[in-house]
Amino acid sequence: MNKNFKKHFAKLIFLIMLIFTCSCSPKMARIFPTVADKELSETLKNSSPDFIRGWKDGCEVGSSGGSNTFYKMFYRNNAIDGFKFSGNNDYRDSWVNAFWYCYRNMYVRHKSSIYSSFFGGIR
Amino acid sequence: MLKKIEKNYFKLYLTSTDNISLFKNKLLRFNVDCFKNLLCILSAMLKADRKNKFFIILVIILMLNSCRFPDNFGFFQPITMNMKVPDGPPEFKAGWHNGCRSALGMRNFANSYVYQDKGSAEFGNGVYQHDQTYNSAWSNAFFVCATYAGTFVDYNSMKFSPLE
Repeated sequence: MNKNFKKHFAKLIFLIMLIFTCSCSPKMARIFPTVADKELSETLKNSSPDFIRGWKDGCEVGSSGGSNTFYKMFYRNNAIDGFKFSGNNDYRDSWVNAFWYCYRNMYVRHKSSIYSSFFGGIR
Repeated sequence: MLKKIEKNYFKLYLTSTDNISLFKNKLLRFNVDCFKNLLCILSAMLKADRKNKFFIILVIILMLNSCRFPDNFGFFQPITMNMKVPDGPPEFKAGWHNGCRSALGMRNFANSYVYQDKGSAEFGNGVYQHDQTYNSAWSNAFFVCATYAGTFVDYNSMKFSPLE
């Protein structure tokens, strides 16, 4: 019974890991080697909530624009709050800056397929 | 299933280093086909016993559920691209919609003719043209959609791949 339990437990862990890695969210994308905003929480810890929200949204859209087709699965290309964008300077400025920062950051690394973005030095 | 595939690849590696003609090798042809059209998963499912078959089906269902589904077939715009206009005031939504359509209507995008209503940039009926929010949303949506479509076409997953 103990052996069976171990076997099923391993399967369960594998299954959970698989679901997490396939959940296609920006949070999961951060485990990949070539993404732009890994240090986001540290650098923006003293910023206003709107600024942080704007940075996250802008970076998600910028990342979706600059990455290759594999990484695109993890980012939305329409992550923007129109109400805040039109009425909140913090959100708007942050969104625009984050868009260009993350776009360029991802673009220079992903100027090729998934193979080069993972194994940049080989090709 | 994974062990079987790994074993096959090991055999494949050995045979390829021995300079045996690759295309005569049934194993190679099998594996190349698998990667090309995902028949590998289906064939593995058919060969798997009842227990493993259930497990594979469960994994596939969970994967499909956890990932977001594409909202189009990839004909009019890239398959991962969401054309839904984000929520906001009317002038913002109009700007985003028109800016994105203008970007996809440019000639470097293969299906640009779908978005070329007037043969130039899209500004709707001109009601919001002097609105700052409209113009800001237009320019941002233009760059978002132009860069998205551009990188989707140029940097697809199979480019520079071993099977290219």
